[in-house]
Amino acid sequence: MSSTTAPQYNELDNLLSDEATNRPAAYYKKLRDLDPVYWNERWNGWVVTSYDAVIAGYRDSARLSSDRFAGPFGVELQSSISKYQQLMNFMSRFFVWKDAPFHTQMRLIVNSAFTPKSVEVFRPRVQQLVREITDTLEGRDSVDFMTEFAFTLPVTVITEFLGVPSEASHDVRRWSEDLAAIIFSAGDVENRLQKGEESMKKIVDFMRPIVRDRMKNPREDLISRMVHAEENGIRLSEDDVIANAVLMVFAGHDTTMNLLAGGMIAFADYPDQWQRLRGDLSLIKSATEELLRYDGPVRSLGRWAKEPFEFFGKNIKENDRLLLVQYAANRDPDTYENPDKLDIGRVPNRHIGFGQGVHTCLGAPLARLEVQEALSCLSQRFSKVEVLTEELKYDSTVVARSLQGLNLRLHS
Amino acid sequence: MGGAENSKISIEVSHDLCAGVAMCIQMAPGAFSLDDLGQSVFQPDSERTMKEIQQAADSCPMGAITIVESE
Repeated sequence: MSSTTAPQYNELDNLLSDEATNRPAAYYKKLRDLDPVYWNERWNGWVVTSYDAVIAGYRDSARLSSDRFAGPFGVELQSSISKYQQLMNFMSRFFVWKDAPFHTQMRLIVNSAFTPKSVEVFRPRVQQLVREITDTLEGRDSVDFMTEFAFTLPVTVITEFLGVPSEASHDVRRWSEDLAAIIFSAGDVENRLQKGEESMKKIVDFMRPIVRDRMKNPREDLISRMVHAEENGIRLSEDDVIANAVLMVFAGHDTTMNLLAGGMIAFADYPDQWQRLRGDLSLIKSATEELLRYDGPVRSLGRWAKEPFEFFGKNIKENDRLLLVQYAANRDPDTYENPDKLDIGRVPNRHIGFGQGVHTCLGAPLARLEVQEALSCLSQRFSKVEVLTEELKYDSTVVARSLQGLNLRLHS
Repeated sequence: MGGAENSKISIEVSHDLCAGVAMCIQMAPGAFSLDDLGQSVFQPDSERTMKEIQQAADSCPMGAITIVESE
């Protein structure tokens, strides 16, 4: 190639192509077959797609950093958002984008609130919510499943769990969508950053009085817990609590919403599996895990190398970026028999829909509980799931499997 | 919760539940390791405190680690 020619990229290097966005399993299969640790010239980093390599990457937090405000991601992020003060201030406190010791400190404070045992006390409330929402879906020709069920259930659960008034849920959704555009690195950056800055300001203004109130009047909610927690003599600052409450509202509904929606699409494609679930509710737990494997809401997450090392035969250099694609790992034929088939009785099923290692999804037990209860109720009320949306469209992002809308006919 | 030297406390990892997430290994280094199947195994001879082991149990998204106090 001469120096005057524009760089010619392999079509597989477009992480936001129509195929990558709307048919990810097919796209990732091509990458995995070509090279499970593939150098993507255009993204300027390694794209990791085999089960073993993705797991190894997630577990190696000693060498692979999550810090978005340092290393190669930091250079880009700082240059793009440094003039947006609210975004800078609050996003730089998101514990998901931190390494030890801040990340460890934060996990120590919140972990015990999210154990399977801790979230279990919330099950009756989730059951009640699921019943109430499902009642409104019965006897209709068409339901906007995305808005009416998949959004409403998780946003209500996470806001109640945190102690945020759920009346604000529709405002929260609007703010979240603007933040999602940044968090999930979608294109068209400048306009979205401006909107993200305004949304961050609104959501922070909304959270701050709640956090201040819990300082004086603690309740049995997660914000109170964060405000009053002390680990090794250190407490979180007011802005730390606000930032991470914002993160949890966001992380607690967007992902679960897409998991529920993706799950219903999977069952529409596999009516035999829906019948199987209807006939045997003891499959609820394995069905939930299978939906996380088959079409989980998080496609991949980025890391960067703090030092050079060898990784599955590749020489990773300091500051190299790695994209760990759990969506691809969960379809790896070396790990799963018939990986592209939905099998709600699949055992074992050690999928990595929630990631692995220190950053494993904090809300995993809560998400599981919500999906289990949703499937229990929906499968008993409806004999068949039919997708009415003519062409399912997903947001064009590297990180999220984010559906734009889903209309269903739920047959009684 | 007493110290790790308390002989009446045992740590159990359920292999029905463990998904090899490896949170415990990060929260209490040395107290847990992964076996050939990628599942966590408690290492009784480690020098971790009960507080760290409790933190590892709390961090497990599968709820696979239980701290059992026997009479």
